[in-house]
Amino acid sequence: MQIEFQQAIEKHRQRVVTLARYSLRSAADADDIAQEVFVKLWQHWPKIDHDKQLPWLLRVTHNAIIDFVRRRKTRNESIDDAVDVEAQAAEQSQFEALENNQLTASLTDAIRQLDDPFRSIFVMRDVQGLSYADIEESLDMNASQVKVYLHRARRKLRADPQLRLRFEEINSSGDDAV
Amino acid sequence: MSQSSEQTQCYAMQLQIDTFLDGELEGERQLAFVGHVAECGDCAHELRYAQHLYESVLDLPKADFSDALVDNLVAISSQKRVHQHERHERHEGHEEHRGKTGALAETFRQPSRVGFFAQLDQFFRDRLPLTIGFAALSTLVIAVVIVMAPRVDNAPQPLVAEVTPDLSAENAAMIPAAFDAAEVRMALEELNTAIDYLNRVSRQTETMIGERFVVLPLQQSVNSSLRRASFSGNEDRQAGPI
Repeated sequence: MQIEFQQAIEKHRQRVVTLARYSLRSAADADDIAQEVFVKLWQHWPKIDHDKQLPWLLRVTHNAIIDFVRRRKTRNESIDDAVDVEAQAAEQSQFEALENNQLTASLTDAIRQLDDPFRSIFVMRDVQGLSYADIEESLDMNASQVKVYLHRARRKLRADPQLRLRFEEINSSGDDAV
Repeated sequence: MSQSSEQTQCYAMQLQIDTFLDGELEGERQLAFVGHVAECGDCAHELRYAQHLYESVLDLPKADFSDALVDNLVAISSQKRVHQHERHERHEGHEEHRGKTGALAETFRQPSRVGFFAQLDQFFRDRLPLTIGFAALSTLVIAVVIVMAPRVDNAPQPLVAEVTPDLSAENAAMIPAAFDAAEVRMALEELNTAIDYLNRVSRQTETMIGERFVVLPLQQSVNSSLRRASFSGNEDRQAGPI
């Protein structure tokens, strides 16, 4: 059982952490969420349908993120921001190095600013490339609902002024080069 | 084509950008979309922007947590497993131990009883002089009651003296000739039986009256005195030191 649990961690860790990381500003908070999710996986191991392990994990992650955001809203935001800054300053991961690309950083911010379930569906489908079936199962929605939310999420992203500005910059520099 | 109808057509086409990028736009709709984008600069720009974002999203890094976190999770799972195992073993061991030394273990495992004895001990420490005083008073009252109470065990004096048939020669001469001596003797015996019965009833009535009007009131007064004494002690304690 423990070996199977370790295999499950290896198999799904990236998907769980990615969903958390694109939903929360602090990498440390995202890691905490991911850890909490896997602890729950271990606690509920005998009761879970292991054919649907990934949708179960994504659903628990999604709920944990919503709970976390709700809790954070009740706390003092300035303290939370300070913690975020410290956590992000402390962590020099590859993920953050890639975020230093301006467009990538703006895109990541814009994704984080999406409301739920637009954000979760966008991250699951477009960032992680999950199947519609897994998304439907994890969010308890039907296919058409998922597609509608996904298209709206994409349109919301395209409407983000920062992203459009970055694109125009890149576009104009490309035209200049030509 | 008017400006408003162009805007409407552009809006309708731009709504299909995602479907086109997903490769789900087919047939005439696809041809119409491609034809419009080829002619409309704004929609072509919008499609380039959407495609750029689409590719940027595909290039977004996939996050992962550290191996230390994985080790932590593995440690948590193994700890819980060990705890479960230990709990299971402890449970089994406990059952076995209970089988061997059940009664003794139960005695030592009941702190509530210890608490009760401690309270009892404290009660006697606090109330010993008072208790002795009331015990002496009660003993005195009971002794008085016993002395005053009717002596049921002692043979009581008959209220009515039994008639002893004395059929001597003189008495026999006094008996009228109309009555046979044997009949007189039988009549006297019946009379004695009746007197004996009346005496018994009288003694029982006396005992009942004594209990009802002497013993019970005394007991009630003693009990109420004891109760008042205990209540007054509690009031003192609740009021606290002055």
